[in-house]
Parts: sequence; C-alpha cells; structure tokens
Amino acid sequence: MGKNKIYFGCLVAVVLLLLAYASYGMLNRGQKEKTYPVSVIVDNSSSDRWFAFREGLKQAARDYHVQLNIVSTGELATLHEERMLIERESENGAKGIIVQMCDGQGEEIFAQVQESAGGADILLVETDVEPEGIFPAVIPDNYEMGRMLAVSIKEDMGVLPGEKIGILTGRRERLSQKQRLQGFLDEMEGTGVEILWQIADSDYVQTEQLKSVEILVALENDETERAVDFLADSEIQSSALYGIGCSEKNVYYLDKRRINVLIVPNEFHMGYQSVATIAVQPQDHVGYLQNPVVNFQVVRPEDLYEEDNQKLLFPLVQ
Amino acid sequence: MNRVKAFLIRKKSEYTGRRRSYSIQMTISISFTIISVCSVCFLSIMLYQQFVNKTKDITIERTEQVLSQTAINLEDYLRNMRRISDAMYYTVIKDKDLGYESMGEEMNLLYEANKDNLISIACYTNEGTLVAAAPIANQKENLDVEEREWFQEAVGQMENLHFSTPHVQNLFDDPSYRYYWVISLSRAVELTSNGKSALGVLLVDMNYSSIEQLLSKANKDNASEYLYLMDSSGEIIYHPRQKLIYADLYQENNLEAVQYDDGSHEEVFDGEKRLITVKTVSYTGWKIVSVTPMTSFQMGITDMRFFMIMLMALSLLMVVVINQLVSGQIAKPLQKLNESVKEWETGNLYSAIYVGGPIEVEHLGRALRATVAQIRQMMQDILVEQEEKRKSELDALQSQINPHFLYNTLDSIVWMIEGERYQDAVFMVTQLASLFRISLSRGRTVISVEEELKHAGNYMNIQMVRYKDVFDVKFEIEPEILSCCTIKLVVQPLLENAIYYGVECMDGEGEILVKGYRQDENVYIEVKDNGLGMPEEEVSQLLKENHRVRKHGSGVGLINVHNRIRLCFGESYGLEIESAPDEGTTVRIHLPYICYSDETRNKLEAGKQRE
Repeated sequence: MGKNKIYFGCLVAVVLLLLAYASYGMLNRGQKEKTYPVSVIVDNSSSDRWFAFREGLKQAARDYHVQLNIVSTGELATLHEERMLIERESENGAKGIIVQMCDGQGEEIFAQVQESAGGADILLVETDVEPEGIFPAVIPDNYEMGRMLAVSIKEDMGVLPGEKIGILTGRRERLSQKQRLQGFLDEMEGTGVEILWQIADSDYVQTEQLKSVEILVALENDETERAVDFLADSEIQSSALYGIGCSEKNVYYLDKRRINVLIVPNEFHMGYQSVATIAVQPQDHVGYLQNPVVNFQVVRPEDLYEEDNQKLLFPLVQ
Repeated sequence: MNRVKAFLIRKKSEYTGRRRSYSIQMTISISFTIISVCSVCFLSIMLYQQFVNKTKDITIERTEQVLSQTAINLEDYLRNMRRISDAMYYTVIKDKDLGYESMGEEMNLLYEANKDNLISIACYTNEGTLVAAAPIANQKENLDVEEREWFQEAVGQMENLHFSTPHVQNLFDDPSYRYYWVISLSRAVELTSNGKSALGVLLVDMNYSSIEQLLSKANKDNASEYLYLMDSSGEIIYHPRQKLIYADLYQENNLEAVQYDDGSHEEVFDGEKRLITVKTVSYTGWKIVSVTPMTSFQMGITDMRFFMIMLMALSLLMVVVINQLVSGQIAKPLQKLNESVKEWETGNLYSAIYVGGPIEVEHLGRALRATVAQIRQMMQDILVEQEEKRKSELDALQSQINPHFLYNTLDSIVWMIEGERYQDAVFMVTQLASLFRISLSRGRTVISVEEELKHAGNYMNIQMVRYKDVFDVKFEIEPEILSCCTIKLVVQPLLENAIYYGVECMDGEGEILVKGYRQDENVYIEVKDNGLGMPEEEVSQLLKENHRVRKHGSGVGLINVHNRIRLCFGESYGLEIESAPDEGTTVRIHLPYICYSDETRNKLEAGKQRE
C-alpha cells in the first residue's frame, strides 16, 4: 500500500508538472514578444546625410525586434549637451543608446558618458573616442577613408609638387575627423604638395583662402556640401574638390562633376550593424572587442551609375 | 567469471524478489497506466501531426492565394503601364506629324493623369535625340541614350514592349537632388516628321516605389514568410531586404529559384529548409517567389503543442485516478481477505475471515472461512480427545486405589499378621507396594510390557491370597515382547474383569491364562478365562461408549482400556473380545511392535507416534 501511494504520488506529480509546463507555455505565448528599446543620438538627425543610416536602423529594428527612437537633434556642439540627451533617453527607458560622439578626446569621457547612460548600453557610430575600444563602436575605417582621398588626388593629378591644398577638416575634436586627416596627411607626405590651410569650421573660410588653393579637400559630409557651395562662385570654380560624404546633394554634385571624387561610407550598413550589435549583445561587452567595420566606396562621376554604386548611393524609396 | 555469475544470480533474485513484492493494486495500476499513457501519447501525437499537416496545407494554400492576388495586382499595374504606353503611341504619336506638331501637351496630360505611378514619359528618335518628355525637364548633358539597355532592347525587338530591371533614372536634371529608382518600359515607335516615317523609342519610366508598395503589402512586418520579385534571369526587382542584399548582409537563393517552375518546391538554403512557391507574372516573365521557412509551420502551432500537452496531462490525470479507483476496487477485497488471513496466521483462531467483493473473491473467502472453521473444529476435537485421554488415565489410576480392593487387601494382611503368617503378610505388602509403584510409574503413561505384566502379576498375587484356590493363573509370555511399549494399566483391568465376571464363582475350576506374543509388527496380550462367557450381542456392546456397566471392581471398564490404547497408538489398535456362553471369554490387547526406550516413550506420550 505504501509503495502504491508513492507510485501514485510520483505519477500525479509528473502529470502536474506537465500541466504546469503547458500552462506556463500557453500563458507565455499569449504575451507579446518583448522589444528592446534603443535610442539613437546623432548630430542633426533629420539631415539628408543620415537617410541611408536611418534606413539601416529601421531595417535592423524590424529584424531584431528593436523599438527604435531616433532622437530629434540639431547640431550637437558640446559633450554636456550630448550627455543631457543620453541621460534623458536612459530615464525614458532606453536599454541601448547609439551615439555619435561630438567630442572624442579625454580619458574622463568614458566615465561621464557611462554615468549619464545609467544602466543603458552605449554604442558609438561613425566616430570612436579616445582611448579607442572603451565603447563598442560601428564605424568606417576613417583613417583609410582619408588616405584613399589622398590616393585619388594622386591618381588624378599625377605629379603633385607645388600643388596647393586647403583642407576642410570638420570638427577635429572628433576622433573620426582626426583619423581622416591623419590618413590624408600620411598619404600626402613626401609628395611635395603644399597644404596651405586646415580649417575646422567652413563658416570661417575666407574667399581668399579658397582662391589660393588648387585642390579643396573636405573630410566630412557637411563640409563637402559647403565646399560645393563655395565652388559655385565663379571666382574659385577652378579648384578641384575631393570630399567624403553621402548626402544626396553631394551625390548630385558628383553627378554634375563639381566633385571630382566622393568617398561614400556605407551608412546603411553602419545603421543596420549598430542596431544588430546592440540588440544581439546588449550585456556582453567583451563581444564588442570585435567591432564591425563599415566599408566605403570611392566614387567618381563617370562610374556613378555603375550597378554597385547605384545600390550604395541611391535610396530605393523616396 | 564465477563472481560475475554469482552477482548476476544475486541481482536476478533481488529483481525477482522485488517483482514479487508488488501489491495487486500496484500491478494493476501500473499495467493500466502504462497502457493508458501509451494510448494517450499515441493519440496526442497522431492528433498533433494531423494538425501540423493541416496547418501546413492551410499555410501553403494561403501563400498561394496571396501570391496569386499579388500577381493579379502586379499584372494589373503592368497592364496599366502598357496601356499608358499604348495610349501614347496609338493615340498621340501615330496621329502627330512632328514636322509641324508637338506631342508635349498630350504627353503631359497622360503623365499628370498617372503621375502617382510614373516618373517620366519620354520619346526619342532613332539617334537618341529627345523629341518630347513629361514632366518638362532639362535633359542631362552628354547622355548616350542609344547606349542604354532599354533603348537597345526597344530597337532590337521592335514588336515587343520591354520592361527593364530597377535602375536609377539618369536622364533629366532634378535640382532638388532627387534620384528615382525606376523600371523602364520601352518600345519602338514610328515617328512621322513632314510625312516621313522614322524609328523612335517611347520610354515610360515607372516609379519603382509603386511596385515596392504593391509587393510590400503582401509582406507582413517581422514575419519569417516573405515574397520577392525577380525578372526572368533571376535578377531581384523587389525584395523586403533588398538593401541588405545590396550591402551583402543578406543572401537570397534567387539564381536557383529562377529555375523553378510555377508551384511549390522545397529547398535547403543557408542551412534552412524552406518552402518556395513560384508564380510567373504574365507578359514580363517576372517571377513572384514566396519563401516560407519550414520552422514557421512549427512556430504557428506552438500553442497547439502546449494545448496537446495540457490535454494529454489532463487525460493522464483522469486515467491515473480512475486506475487507482478501479484497481482499488479489485484489490481491496483481496487485501482485506489477506489481512484477515494474516491475523489468523498470527494465532488469532477466532478472527473473522473476510467475505465480500467480487464473486470470485467472495467464494475464496467463504471457502477459507469454512476451512478455518474445520481446522478450528479439529483442534477442538483434539483438545477434547486429550482431555478424554487424561480423564481415562485418571480413571485407571483411581481404579488402583479402589477402596474395596485396598480394604480387602489390607484386611487380608491384618488377618495374616493375626494368624502369625508373617511371611505371607510381608509378601502381600511387597506385592501391594510393587503394584502401586508401577501404577504411578513416576507419572509416565507408557511403560514396557515387562513392567505391565509385573504389575498384572502383583495384582494377581494379591487376588490369589484373597481367592485362595478359586482359580488358577498362568502367564505364557514370549520374551521378545517384554521390551515392547505399552500404556500402563491395561492388563490389570482385564484380569479384574476375568476374576469378577469369569472365574469368581467356579469353585476351584477357574483358570485364567495370560498369553503374550508377537505377530509381524503387532503385539498381542490375551487374557483368557474359562468362565461363563457371554452371548455375541453382549460382546458387541462391550466396547461402545454407552455401555458402561459397573457391577464390580474399580469400575474401569474395557471401554476405558480400549480408548486409551487407540488414543495412544491409533484407531487400528485396541481391544478385541471373543466370547460365547459357557465357553469363557478372551480379551485380546492389540498393540504395535515398538521397542521401549526413553525416546519412543517420549514420542508416544507426546502423541507423535500416531502421526
């Protein structure tokens, strides 16, 4: 009788466990799939230059069940301003924050940004911070982009000694801009070119300075757009323009041959990869040590409509 | 090897021992449960599989419906585009002489009416010169229109309409920096200028967004099932992850799928098993492909799986409880019966054997109860028998201190002493003492034949003094029976009877012969007198229980002796009487031949000899 009771008890226990498992499964299935809230803070987020990046973000958000919030921003001038935004998004429940850092220098940045983020994970896009690797980042090879710009000039011009170059560097407190400039300068070293000026903010460029150079180099999308505007002036039309950018305006002027070479980072890839990375490995910071590198394309006016370039440069749906 | 064998044997015996220890209820319950579990699982799996198959069929059917509907919508859209082209060609271009007429106004009207789906309409001469375009825009400089694929196809196959793959339009300058993805519909047209016909190309650039919208409607967000569109060479026109494919972040099996005929196919791509359904769009040769990962069938039926598990668990619970009840119903009476038998086994002879439950168990109970009652009765009988034996012995003992016998003997001794016959008096006392010693025999029941005959001799010696010259006694005993077992006080009552009923009144002619002999395994002791004898009817009544006649002597009758012999040695032994009137009486004691020893004596006294 005792054995029978044990057997009966065990059997009932097994059946009850099965029932509990099935009930739990059915109740859990009833719940909506949890989404992972991610905020994106980039400089002037509504700008056309982020079009492909936004497309990438949205596609990845669909694929990885991420609730995406692209924060409306103007020009993010200071780290303080950026930290305020990070803090606000964290308080609003963001579990992950994708940030384009406006300032990438200084050891204390890591601690400050971490403090602002609270428990949220931070992922950097386009530009890293110094020292590199302390935050996970999805960035193009900025150094290589700058270097390739110099290579394009060398290919086009052939003999360079005596050529005068002016560089619109963009904000040099950003590590990305520093790296692009470094890449460019390293490649140009020993070629005999004369770099007349390096200006961070094109608002302060004077016409005389523009007139004085034969080659104008812009290391950032907005700077390339402004450089195009400068070259619209008939007095300085003779300068050749080499730039980095991905906005439709830049592409349009590449098509109009006002830009000689445009280096276009694959921003769709950057957007997609950043969301994918933060969604797949939200807690595993060790996983970020292998940061994905975003590719880029060197585009000349004559091969703008090549199939690969079409796919990279033009958004499918307007 | 031997160790292993021993271990296996031990394990086997443990196992078989364990098996035997299961109760009936548990055995029934386990058996029923195993059968029930197997049945329920089998049914559940079958039901689940049926549901899976049905779900798969429904999904395929639904996919084919969506695919057909999308194909109809797409064909409708493309038909509209062809109609625009036809309208432009047959109602405008054919009617116009470009030498003095312009087609711009009509082209603009047509464009305005369909501008949601169109990017531009343009007409070129055979040399690639723009004739007219809508909306009016500046043509880009240095355009080699003749080099374009759409132009070459139109000129190459003039009778057909040609649909290109998606590409960025690169004909007109848009100062708003906009670039549009288009699908070009081109055809060769006949242009008339100043009455002369010339070849031209009509181009209708369809907005890619319209096709994208049309197809994306069929693709639900986040669903693993999707459909895409490709041309007849396998080049993707629309895909929900088109940008990912362009960025090499996603792969599609389009180049293989283009080989498939219309209908459903199964394939393994990128380690994933998928169901591919293909539908060809008429006229263009484009193919709409629906992709359904096999796992999506499983995902849709997870709820069903949990439901089946729940149903199975509930069925099992019900089965287990019913099994317990049924097995309890069957086993309970047996258990009760077993309990009552166990109680009986512990020594409680008066415990009630359970009678109840199903007919079979009830019958078993009744049979056991009857058996127990019989055993109880038998034990009762044994007790009575033992009591009787004890009583018989007591009677026999009492007979030895019969007051009359004792008085007469002591009177004889007194008389002898008074007559100064001291030797005779001593002899009498000695005989009396020997008689009582053997009678008591230290409480033993079984003695040797020798002692019993000595006791008989003592008795006869005393009686001979009393009945001087009335009768003679002779003892003829085979020596070999002297060492045999007998119960005490069996010969003396016979001698007493022989004296009182046989020879007392024969005035010196009476003779008593005591004869002992062995025959096979039997011992016989006969007491024979030549007295009056008795008729056969009387003889037959002598050994019956109700025939207790006490006329003389101790009153211990033949029946007492007979019973005691049978109680000790068994029913086949006892007394045999032969008598006839005037011919005397012979009473024969029949005993088994058992040599006397302490062991045999103890056995006989314990009653084991009978067994």
